[in-house]
Amino acid sequence: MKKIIIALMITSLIITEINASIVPFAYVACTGSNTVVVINLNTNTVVKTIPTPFAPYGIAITPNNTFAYITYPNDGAVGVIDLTTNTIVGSPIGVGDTPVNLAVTPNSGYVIVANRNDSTFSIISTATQMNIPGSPFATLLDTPNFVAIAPNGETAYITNADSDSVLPIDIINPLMPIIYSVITIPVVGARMAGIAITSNSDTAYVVDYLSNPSTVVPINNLLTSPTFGSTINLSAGANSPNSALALSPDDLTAYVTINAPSSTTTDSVLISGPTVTPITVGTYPAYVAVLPDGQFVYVTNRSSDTVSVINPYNTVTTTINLSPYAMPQGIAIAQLNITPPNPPASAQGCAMPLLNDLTNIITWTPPASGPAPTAYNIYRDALLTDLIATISATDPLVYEDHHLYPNITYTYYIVSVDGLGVMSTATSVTVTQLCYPAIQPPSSIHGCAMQVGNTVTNIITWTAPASGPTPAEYQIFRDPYLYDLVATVPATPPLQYEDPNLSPSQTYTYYIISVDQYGDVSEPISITVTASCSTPGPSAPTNVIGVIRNNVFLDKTERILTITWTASSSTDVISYNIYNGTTLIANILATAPLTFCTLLVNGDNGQNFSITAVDSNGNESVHVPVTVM
Amino acid sequence: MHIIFKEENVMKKIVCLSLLCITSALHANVEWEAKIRGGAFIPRSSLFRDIYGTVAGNFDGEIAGQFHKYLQAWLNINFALAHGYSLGFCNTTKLWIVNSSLGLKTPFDIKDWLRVYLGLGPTFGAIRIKDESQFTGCTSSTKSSIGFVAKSGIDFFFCTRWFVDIFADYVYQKADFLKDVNASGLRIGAGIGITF
Repeated sequence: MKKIIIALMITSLIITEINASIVPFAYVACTGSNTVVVINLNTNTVVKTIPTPFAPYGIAITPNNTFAYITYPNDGAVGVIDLTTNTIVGSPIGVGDTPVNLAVTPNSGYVIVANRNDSTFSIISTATQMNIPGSPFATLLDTPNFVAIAPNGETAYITNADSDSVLPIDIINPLMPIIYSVITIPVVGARMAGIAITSNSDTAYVVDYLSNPSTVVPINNLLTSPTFGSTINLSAGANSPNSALALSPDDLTAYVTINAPSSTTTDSVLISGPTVTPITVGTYPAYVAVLPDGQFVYVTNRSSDTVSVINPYNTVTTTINLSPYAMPQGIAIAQLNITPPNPPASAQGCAMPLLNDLTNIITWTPPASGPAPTAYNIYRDALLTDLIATISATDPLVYEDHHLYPNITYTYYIVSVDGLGVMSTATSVTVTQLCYPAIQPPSSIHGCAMQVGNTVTNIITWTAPASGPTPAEYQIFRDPYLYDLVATVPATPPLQYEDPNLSPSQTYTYYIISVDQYGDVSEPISITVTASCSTPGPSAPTNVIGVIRNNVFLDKTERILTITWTASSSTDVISYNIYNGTTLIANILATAPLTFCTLLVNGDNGQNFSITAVDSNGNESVHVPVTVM
Repeated sequence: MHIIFKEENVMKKIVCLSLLCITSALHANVEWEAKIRGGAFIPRSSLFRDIYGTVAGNFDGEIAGQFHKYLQAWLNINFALAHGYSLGFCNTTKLWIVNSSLGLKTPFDIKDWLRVYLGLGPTFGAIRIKDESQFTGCTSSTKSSIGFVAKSGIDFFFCTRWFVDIFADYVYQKADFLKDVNASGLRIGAGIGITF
């Protein structure tokens, strides 16, 4: 039984390991806002900010990706960030005066800090998060500046910002560092800034920032007897001790920031050339870091509050805006083992053909297991490059894609995103069906023109759709693009629209659509009115006169419209219909007195009343408007 | 309405004085009289007359106490009923007016058997109108209002305590329905009374 449990645990661990993936993050010290900003380098988005108690400056990450160390120059201390929680842990560790730059040993055991203003360096144990005994250690340097540690872990190198020297320190036993004699650069007036060591630990490249232009000085044979290669002139002079240098993983290219307030340049230095390619980045470039696979280089721009992303072709592909977080300085890259969230468990989509706004509605369900997403990204392409929306996981899991083109099939790709911007694979949905049964257009349409004096009234009638949802109303347009709405008619009989006062010399075309209760619309059905109205019904009544009279009580006065008319000349008329607008309000038998009285309310002037004759077959004559005297 | 409010101030004083007089009379050795009367209500409003006719029935009962040689306090309940037709479509309409009033009047004995009087007092009345429109159906509404009445009359004593009262009163009364209704008019008629 015990073996089975252990086997299951091992299997579980293996599965967890399989599900996890390595995700690169950049940690950027923003001096101006007391924050460390975390950037997901797969998406180049800021995913988290970590408040710091003091203004951070330099930053270094342990190779085992466990801790980040940040310097607080103004407070003589170093802070520690736990990368598993992305929070500051412990109290700031006191070091020397003005710690600026720092580096971590390859075994992740110790952090070496250059204290710029007291000519010392400190060594912090990552196991205890404390200075080792004797730290800080005095140096022979005027101004300790940048720190680099050889990949073999045996030697640390500290550049001197106020002199032409580099200090090697034997750290084979970091608890007992041995300070060697300084390596003096054979350049008159040289001042040292950024430094990097090649992967074989035998060559260092160091920036002489004071020369004009600034230079990169190769120091060869570090493992035996140092010699100096030819200096490489950069594109401009930095005149700042904060010009940083980073090497590509293949040691063939060095990236150097021209650290000056007005500068917008970072140089890409092909060492074998040597060839220097200036790259335009943001303003006041400060620190530089290279992705371990060498695919991208990241430069912090102190005055722009941005990070420039440079590809291997020395092109800035992306600029990451950090605002409102200000004055980015140190940058370091961690590769964290992250278990990404699972994709949405399911996704559905349907189309709503709203008027002039074809809309797809996408819904999905959260992943059934795994880390809880904080958001969902919706893309239009399988490569996940065309992001169209980000929906918070706390909002309804619905996305509406408006103003789409008809006759195009849309596919959406939905990915889960966790709090660090780590994305799942995509769940796709292709919208192929309508959200509701499609509403149909009117099943038939008729129209005729009725001469009224010198104008024409077009009378349009239609019948309800033979199938599908019941329309709530009909909309009538004069153009095929359905922009020129001329009337909205309720879906109650009579399904008729009268367009009065038209020009007799013009031909009119009408487009009618059905509209359901959700606002969905049908395709239009159209008619061009060419025929004159000669209805199969009886002839219309004549002399249709309305007179408004008052019915006066002591306490109120009612306005009464009395309509009288002359009977239709057709012999089979059995009644007359009285309409107010399109609403049938009374049916008067043809044998009754041809008069009708009705109350007028709310200032009604009786102009909307009309009358038709109805024959024994139920056919109606054309409407005859009531002439109100 | 502004005029009515001014009158109301006067009426308030008359009401208070009348109540004071009646209260005093109840505790003093005063002469009381009671009478019932009938007659006609002749509305002042031409619209009223057009709809309900020039004359409506009118009935009232009154009690008065003479607490001074020239002053009587009185309390009157009046009921008037009218029936008519709307103008235009001749739909039936009925009207009821119930009025209560009180005030002071001044009797003058001309002879032992003849007395005239003049009086003034506020009224509080309710007007109810029931219309039977062929278009809106049967509707009725009631409104109340405050007005005043001016009284005059002659009492003929034909027995020691019994007398005949011939009167002419003018009542002022208006109410706000869907439009203003003027229910003012002249009441004339006769009645019989007794003193005790």
